Order: sequence, then structure tokens, then C-alpha cells
Amino acid sequence: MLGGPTKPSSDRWSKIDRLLDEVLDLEPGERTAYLERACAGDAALRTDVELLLRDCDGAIDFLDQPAAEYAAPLVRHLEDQLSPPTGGMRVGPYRIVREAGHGGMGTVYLAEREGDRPPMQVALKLVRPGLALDGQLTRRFLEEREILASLNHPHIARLLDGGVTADGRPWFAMEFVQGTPLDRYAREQHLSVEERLTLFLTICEAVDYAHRNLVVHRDLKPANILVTADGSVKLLDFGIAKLIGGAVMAVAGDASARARLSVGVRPMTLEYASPEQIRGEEVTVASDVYSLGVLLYELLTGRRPYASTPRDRPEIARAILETDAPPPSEVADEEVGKTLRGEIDSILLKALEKEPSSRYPSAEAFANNLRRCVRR
Amino acid sequence: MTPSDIPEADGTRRPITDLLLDLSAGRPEAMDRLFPLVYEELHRIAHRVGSCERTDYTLGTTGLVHETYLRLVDQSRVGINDRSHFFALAARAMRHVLVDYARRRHALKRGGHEAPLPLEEGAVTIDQRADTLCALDEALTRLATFDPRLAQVVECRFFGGLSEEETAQVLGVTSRTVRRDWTKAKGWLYRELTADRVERDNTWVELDRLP
Repeated sequence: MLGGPTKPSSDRWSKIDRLLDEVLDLEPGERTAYLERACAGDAALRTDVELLLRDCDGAIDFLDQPAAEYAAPLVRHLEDQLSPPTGGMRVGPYRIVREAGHGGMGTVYLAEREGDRPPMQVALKLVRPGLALDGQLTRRFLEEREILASLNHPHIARLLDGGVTADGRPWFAMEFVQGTPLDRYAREQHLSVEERLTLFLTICEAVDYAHRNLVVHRDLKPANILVTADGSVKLLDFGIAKLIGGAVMAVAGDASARARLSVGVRPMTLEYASPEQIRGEEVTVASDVYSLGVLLYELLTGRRPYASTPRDRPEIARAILETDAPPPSEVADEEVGKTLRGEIDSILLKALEKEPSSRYPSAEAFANNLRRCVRR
Repeated sequence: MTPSDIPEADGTRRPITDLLLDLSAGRPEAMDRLFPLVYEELHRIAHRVGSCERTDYTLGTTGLVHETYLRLVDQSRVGINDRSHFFALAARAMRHVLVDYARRRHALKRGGHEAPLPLEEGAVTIDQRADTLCALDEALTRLATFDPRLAQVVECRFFGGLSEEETAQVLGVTSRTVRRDWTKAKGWLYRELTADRVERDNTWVELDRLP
């Protein structure tokens, strides 16, 4: 059937149905001969039955999983989104004011610390209920939180506090940043290539600072990079992905439990993930260098570094794992392309190498190479 | 959360059992009141399981329809026929509950409120699940127009999580018939759901020209 849905007349269907019943009782080897006899003179009927029979055989495993189980991730996702804690709820020393956004791992709220005059506003991230921790994991989680809280850089949003709610849900309080996501900012301000590169170099500095303090971001993307009203950059969620991800993987210790925890187990955004992240391998400084490469590629060309336009998530994953990025100068519009051709092309393609060891060894090395282009 | 943690629904148990007996006594209008009650109950359980899901209890285990039956119906007052009536309507209610979730996801997407979803362990994304459930619901409605029994088998087996034998009792046919209907229904639905995605050979055009 090509195009629209089928709906046979009831007379037609009862013929097909009866033949199907008869043929399904036969051994596969006997079916053709039987149909040939039974449909003598009605080739169309025979085709209908044969094709449907083929689909009956092809659909052996189809609908094997009960509907409720199949729909469970969808139900969980919607329940997380549609029933957030109401304003006024307390988390640690903070009181939730309103919802400020949500991602795959949970919801972000604007919250205030109780007792402060004037009240200090924070971004409070509450991990979704399905990802709760037990005692031992809670300790590890709090240790890692200490490392993140020690990051102190003007372009990194501070992690102020974090803990675990009574029902075991991890939460974090971060510096509340009001700003515009990087990609939207660049678009709205009509930034030139040079201005974009300058902004990007600041991002590299912040990422490099964190790397020197042994913290990998793991989820660099435009939504995690805000530009404030005075034009300065703030990186959000440094290391949070690992904090949550490590805990979750440990919660889902055995393979079958992990399979059931099918949503949000690997906290990353597919579009900016490195090949090794998609393969579930070790994530290092080089993974952040890759994501920075995707970020800059998109910032300069308006497109992500895929050879074709992927239609769904498996295709995105395949593009990242298997196909080489086209040189940015070839996908950017002509004017920008001229600026990119040559040096920036080769710098970006090096950052986007599939093999981590072939990329720049640090965000600083990536930045130094770019800096030479900006000066010129 | 385990089934034993779920409190008995005392407030609704009597009216639901009464309505079920009305239905068996040949008063089909009882369905109009019964269906929303069962829908609400299934939705409530799905909601609760969805918002406190850990690894020990999922929506799929042993079937919410069975559990709802034990909670909502006073078994001392009903017989096997009433149980079958309940199973049939609960399976249909379950279909509505799950398809409504899928539609809500679509509505949120259209409204632009959707957040980027993280990569899942499996290959099936939340949006694909929503798409499949909606497409399946539509195909099932079409199937019911020319073969209602096949459609009902799918409701019982897939949406209700009922066994072959339970489905046979609901429909008043043999288990063997259920097995064969299930095979045929799956084949037909499979085609409906894959036809617009998979390139087929030209012979499919023939089928498309059916009256």
C-alpha cells in the first residue's frame, strides 16, 4: 500500500479473512499451492492475501510489549512536566518561587533562600523523581558537589549548594543568571564572525579553567551558555551531568534495571555529544573539545556539522559516529565562507575528529589556534 | 510501590460493582457512567506510577487492568461474565488513557513547550512512542469498522495486557480463535503503521485500489 490507509469493503475483507484463516493453519511450504487453487481466476485476491500473510509473519514480535510498558517512558516524562512542585515548596534552605525551565533530568526553579534580606535568588535544579538516590550514593554525590562548588570563575555560574530531598531526589542551587542563550544572542545581535569568535574564545577560557580543576562539562550546548545584558558569557551546569549521571548509573546497577530506566540515563544532549559519549565510553577533556567544535561550527555557519540533515535521533547518532563533517566554509553562506576557508576550516575539523586523541589536547590549544586567526 | 500498598477504593467500589451488575442485567446505559470511573482510576494509577517510578514497579507488571479489577470490584458479588465485561471496558479505558498521554505530548510539542529530550538507552524515543500510539489508535479505529473482533482482540491483548484465555472469555470465542485473530490483527496493523515509512513494491498499489 502506498499513500493512504486501507479499508477494504466488508465483503472483500470476509474473503481475505477466510483465506487467511485457512492458510495460517497450513505449513509454510503448502501455502502457495493452496492459494493458487483457492484464488483461481482472482489474482488481486491472491496478492492481497499473500501480502497480508507476509505482514503477519513479519509482525511476529510486533505489539509483544504490553502497551502500558511501551508507554511508560512517555507517561513518566509527561508527569514530570505536568505536575511540578507548586510555588512555596521548600527544598533545603530554599523556597521555590516559580518554574524557570525544564530539561531531561528535571526541572529548574527560581528559588529564594529563606531568611536573607533581601532574599538571594538562585536557580534550583530538582532532579526528577525517578532518579532518587540511596544512602551511599548520597554521600558520593555530596562529595562530588564539593569539587564543583570550588570552581570559581567569572564566566562559570557558581554552584552554591546542593543536597538530597527527604524522598531522595538530588537538588542543586546555582547562581541565577539572567541572559540569552548563545545562539539566539548571536542571531539577535547580528554578531560578525570576529565577534562570534571573540565570544567563543571567552567560553574556551572558562572551559579550560574547569578542566585544569579536573571538571569536565559533558553537556556543552547553546542552552547552557548564556550571554547577559552586559554582553558577558556565563556557562551553566558545569559537571552536573556527571554528578547526576554517575548517581543514576549506580542506582540502576544491574543491566535489566538500567534498561528499564530508559529515559535520561545518560544526561547529555545528543546534538552536541561526541562519538565516545554516544558509544558510552570514557568522557574526557577531549569530549568537551569536540562539543566546543560543534558549538563553534553552528555559531559560524548556522548548521550543525552533519553531511546531511538527520531526520531522527538514530540518524543523528549515526551522523556523529560515522560521517565526517563537511568543511564549514562549504556550508556557510558565501560571504562568511570566504572568511572561514583555509585556517578556520582545518581548526574546526581537527576539533571535530572522531578519534579523541586526534583533537586538540585542550580547550586552550583549540583557542590559541583560533586566536591567531582573529588577530589577523 | 507494590499493589498491596495501593489503598482499596472503598468509596467507588460499591457503585462500580453495582454498575457492572446493571450492565450484565442488560442495561447498556450503565456503561456511560462506568467507563469514566474506570478511566479515572487507570489514569490515577498511571499518574502515580509515572511520578514515583523506581525499578521495582512499572506500569507493565502483571497488568494494571487486573489490579484495577481487584481494587474496584467486589468479587463476592460478581461472576465470571461480569469480570469479562469489566476486562473489556478496562482494556478500552487503558487504550484511551495511554493514547491521551501521546496526544498531550503532541499538543505540548505544537505549543512549543517541549524541552530537548536526553538520549535514551534504547533506540525508541518518547516522541516515537507517542507517534506510534497515536497511529496505532487510528489504525485500530479503522480496523474496527470492518472487523470489530480483531480490533477488540488488540485492545484486550495489547492495551489490557490480558492473556489469550482471558481474551477468549471476554469475546466468547476459543483461545485458538483469539490466537489467530491476534496474528491477523498484528499483520494488518503492522502494515498500516509501516506503509508510509517503508518503500514497498508496486503490488501494494493494487491493494490501495480496493473498494
